[in-house]
Amino acid sequence: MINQNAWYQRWNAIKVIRGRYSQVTLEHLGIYVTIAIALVMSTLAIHNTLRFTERNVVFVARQPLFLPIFICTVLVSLYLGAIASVSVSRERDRKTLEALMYGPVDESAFLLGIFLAHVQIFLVALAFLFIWSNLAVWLLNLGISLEVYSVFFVSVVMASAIVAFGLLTAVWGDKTRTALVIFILILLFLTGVQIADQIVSNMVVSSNPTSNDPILIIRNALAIVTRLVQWLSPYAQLIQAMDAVANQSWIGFITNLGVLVIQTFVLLFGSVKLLTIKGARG
Amino acid sequence: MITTNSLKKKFGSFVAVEDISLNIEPGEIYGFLGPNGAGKTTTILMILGILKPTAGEVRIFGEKINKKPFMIKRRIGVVAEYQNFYDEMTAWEYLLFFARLLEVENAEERARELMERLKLWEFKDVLVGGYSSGMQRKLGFVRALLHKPEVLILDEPVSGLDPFGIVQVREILNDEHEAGTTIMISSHILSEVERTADRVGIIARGRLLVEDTMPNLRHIVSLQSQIELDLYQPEETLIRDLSALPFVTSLDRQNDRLIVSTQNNKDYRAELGSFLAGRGAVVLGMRMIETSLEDAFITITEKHIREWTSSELQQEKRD
Repeated sequence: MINQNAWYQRWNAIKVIRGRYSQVTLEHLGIYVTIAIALVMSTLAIHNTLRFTERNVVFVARQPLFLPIFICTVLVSLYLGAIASVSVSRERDRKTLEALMYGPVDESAFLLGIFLAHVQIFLVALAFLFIWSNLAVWLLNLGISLEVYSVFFVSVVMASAIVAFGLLTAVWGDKTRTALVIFILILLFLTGVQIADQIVSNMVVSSNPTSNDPILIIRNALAIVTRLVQWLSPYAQLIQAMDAVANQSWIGFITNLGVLVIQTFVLLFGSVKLLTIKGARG
Repeated sequence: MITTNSLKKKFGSFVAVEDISLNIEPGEIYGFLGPNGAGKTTTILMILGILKPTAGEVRIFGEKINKKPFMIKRRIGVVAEYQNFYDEMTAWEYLLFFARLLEVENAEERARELMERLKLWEFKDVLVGGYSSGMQRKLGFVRALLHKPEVLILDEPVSGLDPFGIVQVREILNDEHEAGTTIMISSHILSEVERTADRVGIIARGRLLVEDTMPNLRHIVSLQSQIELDLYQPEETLIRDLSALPFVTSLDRQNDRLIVSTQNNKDYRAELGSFLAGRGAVVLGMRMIETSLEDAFITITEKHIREWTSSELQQEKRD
């Protein structure tokens, strides 16, 4: 006897679609190559940290695992966000989404299924990172603390936001190529603003700067944009969460975690709403 | 079972479907016909909830599809005009994926039964991307029937099928019909629709022109009935007297074969038979020539298109 409750049926559709997309992604080499590259870069990062510590006779390196975790989670989440975007776009491009929706599948079930599949795969990548971290701790005689586990946790929420962003760009962009371009351009913009702010902040202004000094004008404008970007960018939120954890500011950590959760929900809700408006046929 | 009420769909300023109100009864086979670009597929997509109507509503099983999509969609099977598959899956994987979505009981057994019936079982482990269009059409049928739907919606169901495939599909549709499944068929192969449909709806330029049974459609279209008579060496006087009968409008002779046109108000075969028997004629054969669905379709659509074109021209002149 089939349960006629709509939420149960929606959940069944989510599970089946999640299962399919998890399998498809895990059967491809791409995720393993990405994890391998991420772990290699993380290894280099911790190696450089330890060399700096040694050369500068610094006996305390605060949270040496944070940078490797950041590098690894950013790379893997970028890959999964892009793959999630491609998955949705391909379904619409080749009209298999329409065939899915002849059956008991709606827009929310479809997108949530793909979302959960990619978050699930991020957890698999995180498991690799966890094993790597424990190996590093054991080999290098480092400490692993509650703060590190907190960062692992917040990185999952950050990755969820990136995957949800990938879904939104796919629905927005219609075609696969357009969706990927939007995904990459927006992330480049968010990153570029922060890098530009760093560069301009370090530029030397004239000895008697006036309000018309171009560097000051650009610096002020970038400061405003950067503040906005820091609220909008999941990566910026992750960095702030790491800083909060390092400074033992748990309220700050919870705030950043909350912002990431809100970002994820807003992006997911926006994707579902936009797909409902545009329809399976585009 | 399926009801549309003043269904309308606009794409920008283009009106694809205007004021379609159709009613498909439970258990019947409904033929949905129209020339290319008439709005058949657009109407079907609105019925399935894939396209949102600009105006009007669709009810299936008495419920609006947008209010209870899950409950309604798991009771419907669809074979679309353009089959879109996951090319990287084998046919078996594809069917089991949909069986899980539809929570089909004994899914493997059911899928095997249907694949064997449509002669696809030996290709179950072939990638769907490697299937011919006819095989993909049959695979679409298997998917549509997996969960034993109460309603089947078929858009060009036999397109791309060889004669064997058409026979297999026809047998399946007959079995489904006997089991009480409601079937909506949109097709350009009018002979197939004529053979199976209980009622037919004809659409053109986004409007439903007529919706009726085949006999009534023929009655609407024909001003007269025709009876084909095969006689053994008929005499000239017999033929002359036959053409003078009050219900005979005209008579066309081709050797010993006569085409007798009668008034369209009843079947005059009994009267003809009595007349010929009274005159001692030897009747080798007598059959009613029925207006085909193709003739009815062409007559009805051409008539309406002429009327619309004329009124559009008059409107242009006034403007």
